[in-house]
Amino acid sequence: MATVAAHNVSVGYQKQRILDQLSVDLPEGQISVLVGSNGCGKSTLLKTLARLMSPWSGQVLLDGTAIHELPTQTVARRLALLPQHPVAPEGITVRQLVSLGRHPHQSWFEQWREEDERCVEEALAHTGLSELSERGVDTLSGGQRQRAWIALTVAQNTPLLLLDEPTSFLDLTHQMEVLELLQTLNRDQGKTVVMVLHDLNLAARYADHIVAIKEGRVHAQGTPAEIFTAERIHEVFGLSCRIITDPYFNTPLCIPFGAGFPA
Amino acid sequence: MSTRVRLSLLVAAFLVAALSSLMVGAHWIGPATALKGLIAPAPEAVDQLIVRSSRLPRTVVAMVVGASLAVAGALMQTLTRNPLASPGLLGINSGATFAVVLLVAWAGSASLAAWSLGAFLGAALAAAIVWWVAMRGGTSTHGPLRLVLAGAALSALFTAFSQALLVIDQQGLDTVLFWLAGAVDGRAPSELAPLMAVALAAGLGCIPLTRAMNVLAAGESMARGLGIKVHRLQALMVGLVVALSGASVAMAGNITFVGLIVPHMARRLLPADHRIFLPGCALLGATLLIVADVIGRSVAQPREIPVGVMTALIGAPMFIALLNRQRSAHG
Repeated sequence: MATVAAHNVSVGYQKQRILDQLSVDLPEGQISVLVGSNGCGKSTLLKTLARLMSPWSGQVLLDGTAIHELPTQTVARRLALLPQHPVAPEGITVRQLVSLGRHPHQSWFEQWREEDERCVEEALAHTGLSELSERGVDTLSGGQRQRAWIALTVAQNTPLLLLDEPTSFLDLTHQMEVLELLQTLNRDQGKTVVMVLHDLNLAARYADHIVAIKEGRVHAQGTPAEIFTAERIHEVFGLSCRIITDPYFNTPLCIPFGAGFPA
Repeated sequence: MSTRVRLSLLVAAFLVAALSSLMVGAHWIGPATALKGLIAPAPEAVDQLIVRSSRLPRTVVAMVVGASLAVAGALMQTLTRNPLASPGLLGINSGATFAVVLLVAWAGSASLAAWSLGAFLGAALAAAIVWWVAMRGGTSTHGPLRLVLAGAALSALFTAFSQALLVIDQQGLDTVLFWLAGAVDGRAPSELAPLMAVALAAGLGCIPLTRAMNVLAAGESMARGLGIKVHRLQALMVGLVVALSGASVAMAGNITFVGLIVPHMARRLLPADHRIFLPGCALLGATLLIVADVIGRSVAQPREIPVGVMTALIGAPMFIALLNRQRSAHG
């Protein structure tokens, strides 16, 4: 198990501040989803948590230690990141791609061990890719390709998994497929999952914990039922909506209104 | 076909090319004599003397230059994740050319050793300027893209300087023209020894980085997430490219096509693993340049077509054929 938290983090690009003294503790062993409108800083927060960006002030804590003081290999053994729109190298096979996840566990003298092989096989099996392992990644469908990238992070064998919009550009079936996979990893392996999602209804279905971000700060956090109220959605997204209860899953369901469909 | 078989075929192709390079020329020498001249030379045999004093050196130069340029191109393409990247994008060729033109304008016809040294320094200096410009406004994002853009802009600038100087100094133009087209002959091995050592050291220097390169090929963010110190790796790779292609341009002039197309050929023949891919590039590059040199010296006898021209003449159709085959294979 592992925890990641941000304490009073401010960060941005060049002179533009994106996160403003943001603090958040992400619950261990749960699926947390960061939501917010475009440009609110949710992707920046994820990148800062994964130490792709260095905070101007404040700290990211990984298991209570400042992440920027930890050796990069140590971090890579505890925290895996799937960036937005990863592009596979030309001609690489699924197995080769997944094997890259073992990099933080390898060292100079001990290059590829049985444990590495076992982790790759398990990652392929967990993600349903064993049959496709010798296929080229560029011959896979969008959903299969995203599963291959997730398999890479599974092979990395970290208690923490951070994903930046893992479902974007996928059709609904494949979005579900990816989220089901992440839910299985969370339930079966106890992985702490933190991700950015745009689809509020899918977020409500799969998240244990929602963090709503507005203008670089945490606006509200809690269970989907606590966060997804019509007032909150209006505050965070500037969108008028009605929240009903999903008749099948009992999770909040957002019905958006617009100018053409007044409330 | 397994990877092992493909690699063996590449080795075989290289050996055939190297042997034919010892045999073919203004004067045909049989394979037995060529090998004897190589292994156990008899002092008075003229044919064996030709093999050792002329054909062996140019074969070795073609081998080292071809392998170096191909590996440098592969490193550039991995570094920038851009399939069109080649060492020329770091300003290597334009920098070396400018240095040589400057040398000729100032010192007249300098010695070959001075040319080589000048070319190497020009290449290294140009690459250093490109790196500095690209990495100046912070290294946070788009480093490789900035590198490509800065390289393109500065290459144009150096080329313009060279052309301006050459227009003023017409005599220099004649001297520099043949060098510009690229050549692997007429160089004494002893003069080239330091450059060869640089290329060889850089080639060996790639070996410990190959696994990290595999990870970098999956993208910068991914590589950082997997514990790679990305900026350090990129800087090391640029250093290796400068050493490899700087030494090449100093040894053989401007041979631009090898670094671009050989990595593509290797990618279609070999797995996307730098531990196999880079040695494959070296073999293919060496073979291509030797073949280009052999054909260049035999088609228009008694004259020779510069090897830089021949690489494009042979490499471009081969490359297009490979692209077409790839397309039909994928339906």
